[in-house]
Amino acid sequence: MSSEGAAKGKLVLVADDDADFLNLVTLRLQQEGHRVERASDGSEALRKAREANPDLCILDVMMPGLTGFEVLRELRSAERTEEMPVMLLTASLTDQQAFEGATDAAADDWMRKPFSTAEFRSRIAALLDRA
Amino acid sequence: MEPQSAPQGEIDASTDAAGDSFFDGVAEYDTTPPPGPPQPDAARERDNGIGFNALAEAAPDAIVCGDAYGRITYWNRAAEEDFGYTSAEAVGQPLTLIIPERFRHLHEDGMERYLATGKPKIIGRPVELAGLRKDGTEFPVELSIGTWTSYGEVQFTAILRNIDDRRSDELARSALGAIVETSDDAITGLSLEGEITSWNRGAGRLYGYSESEVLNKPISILVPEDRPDEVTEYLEAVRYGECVEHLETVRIRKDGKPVHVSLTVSPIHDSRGDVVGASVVARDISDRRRQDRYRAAQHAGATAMAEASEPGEAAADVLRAIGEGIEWDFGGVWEASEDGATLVCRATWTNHDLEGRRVGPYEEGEVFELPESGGERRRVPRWIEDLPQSGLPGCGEDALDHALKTAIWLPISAGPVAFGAIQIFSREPMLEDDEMLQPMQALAAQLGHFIERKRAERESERLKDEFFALISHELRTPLTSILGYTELLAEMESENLSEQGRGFVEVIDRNAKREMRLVRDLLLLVRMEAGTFTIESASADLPAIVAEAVEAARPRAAEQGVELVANTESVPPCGADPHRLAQVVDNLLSNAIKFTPDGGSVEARLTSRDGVALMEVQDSGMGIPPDEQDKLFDRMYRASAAADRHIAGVGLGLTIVKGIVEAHGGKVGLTSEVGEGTTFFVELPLRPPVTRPDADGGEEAPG
Repeated sequence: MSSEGAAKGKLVLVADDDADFLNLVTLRLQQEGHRVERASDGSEALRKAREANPDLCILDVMMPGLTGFEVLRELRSAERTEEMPVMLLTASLTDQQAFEGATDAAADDWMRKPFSTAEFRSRIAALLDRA
Repeated sequence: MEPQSAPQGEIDASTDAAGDSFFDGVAEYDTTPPPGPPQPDAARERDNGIGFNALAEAAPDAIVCGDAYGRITYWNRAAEEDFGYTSAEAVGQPLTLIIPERFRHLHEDGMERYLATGKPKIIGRPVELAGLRKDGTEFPVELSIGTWTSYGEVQFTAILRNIDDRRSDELARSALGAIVETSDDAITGLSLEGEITSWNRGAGRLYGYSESEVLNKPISILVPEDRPDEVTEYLEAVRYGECVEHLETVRIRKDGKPVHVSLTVSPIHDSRGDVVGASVVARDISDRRRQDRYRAAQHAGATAMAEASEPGEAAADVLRAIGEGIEWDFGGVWEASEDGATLVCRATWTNHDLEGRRVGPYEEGEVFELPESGGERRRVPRWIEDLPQSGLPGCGEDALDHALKTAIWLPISAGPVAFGAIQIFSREPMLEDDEMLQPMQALAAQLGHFIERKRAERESERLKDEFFALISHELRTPLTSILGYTELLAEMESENLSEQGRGFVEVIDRNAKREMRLVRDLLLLVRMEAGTFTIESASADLPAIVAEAVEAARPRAAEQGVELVANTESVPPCGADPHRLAQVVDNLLSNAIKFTPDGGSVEARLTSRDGVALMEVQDSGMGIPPDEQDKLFDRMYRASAAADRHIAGVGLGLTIVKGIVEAHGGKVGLTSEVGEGTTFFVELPLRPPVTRPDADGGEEAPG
């Protein structure tokens, strides 16, 4: 099942320390016809983002090592990755203000877990279409 | 009745004593032997037929009659009282009995002249003399003498008015003058034209002018320019005989400084009762006003601390309260860095009289490197007259440049912990004043405790926030996977499942979603109560939100045997939080379905009118009794029917609905009829959607 007219065959980096969730997102992205690079903590995410130069990064906020915010900041501070599309994911409700500040400044989009599959698909498609 | 012999003996003595007196002269003049003194009682009883005795006995003045030989022939009651001799003692005695030695020659000369020439010198005209009492003391008398002839003999009648009282009036007056002169109050006399006619020492002290500098000058030299009519007004009142009491005002001293006074102005009357001037009693109320100002400062500071939400705001308010309370010129709040090595200026204050001028030696944000020594001295309140020696901010050459003379240093501390200090400067040299320093230091100390309390609160708030962030994350992460994989199972493995297996997957999905909603409501409520709940304003498509919520509720409605209907009109996109509004609709639908029995119906409607969207959820349920309707939106309140019928829920849904709707500037309410059903309604103002400045399209509606 894939969104009509959406870009296909893109490389998406997904970083989450929850393996079950990482698998779930991987599966959904593959269903859309994308390739997936996976990371289970912030440092790995940053390294792979630099190495693989993905079309989109989907970063969980609360990760060991570097948080999603910190990875985002690092990406934005380097010329080569500063325009890389980034979506942040959070399962928390309470860090909304800090979150909005960060996203307004740097992230391209953010979603709160859990989300509906339909909404996830359309947001991903929008980000990849722009990329 | 006195025996005759005793006074007789005294007569001899008196006669001897007055040997060179009037009587000798009389004797020389008239050789007719005297008839001898009349009997006193006879004299008293004697009456010339015109009621003399009755009159004389009742007279308030001493009345003494004498004959041409200078002997007393009559002595009234007043004379008895004034001179101390009874009538029996006095009658027959020479008149010199009651004349002090030094006046006797006047008496003799007068008698002689009169008897020789018939011309009175003092007769008919009162003169002031002294009277001699039996006890040897004297008192002032006003003497009037009249003459008359009885049986061919000249008789004298002397009226001796005791004017001791009048003297005491004068004494009283001079005593009063002394009181006025030594009074602490400034007492001035004014003419009705407002010229100064008297000026006591108190006035000299209060106003700084000597009497000679101000006498005959207009009182307006003391009056500030901004109160030109005050004197005219009180003089006008005085002219009508009225007093002006406790007029609190300001006067200008000779040195140009203002002084706060309370005036009492009273008319001065002359002997005829006409108003001829005014007396002005001025009391220096600077002390009282100072005390009032200190109290007001303490009150203002305490109020600021009660209302301020954070320490910086409270500190700036307390600084202002102190500055205004002591009426100095400039001040600042200094915050100590954590290592105690530097102070940072957090706020400054300038006396409003000096606004617009650069009065202070520093500005907000200025950093002061503390010298290593003197830490102890910085932790105690200080009155600083020698600024450069103090080692405190703004006290070096800066202070001299700004002509600052005195400073106070009020540490902001709680126990041993010093947060900083409040510093106030005066451009005048000020004498150390403990009565001022103490209440102001108390205020600074209060601020220290306030800051300590706020910091503790903030820390506990932070820990609480962290805890909820963690709980929120930990509760939602597994649910995310449960929901995600359940969805995958239904999507991808449906064909591999039996009918029963597919039913099991639906049960998992429904319950996971129910738990998700509960977690969502619970966490939202926590944030509402902590005051950290905010809505994310984005573009909200209300018809889509209602439609999606209805679709999401369909399985639950079907399970309950409730018919679910949606009726939505087209409503323009509005600025609101779509996720939160979805939560509102979802909660209202959940309630409606739960409280509607099998076979009933629930309808969601959406309309708009005059810029307000109206969303209604109507059920054909059991209805809500009126006495429960008000409580429905209270946290944890559960309708009686919920308990009676074992309907699941924790009583958070409507509280959440109300919180979200009100955060959007809308309102929520209901109409209900027991047995008929209930309609909940939500009114939302249709604000235009807010476009995000970076316009990244992330909030755009899917599709």
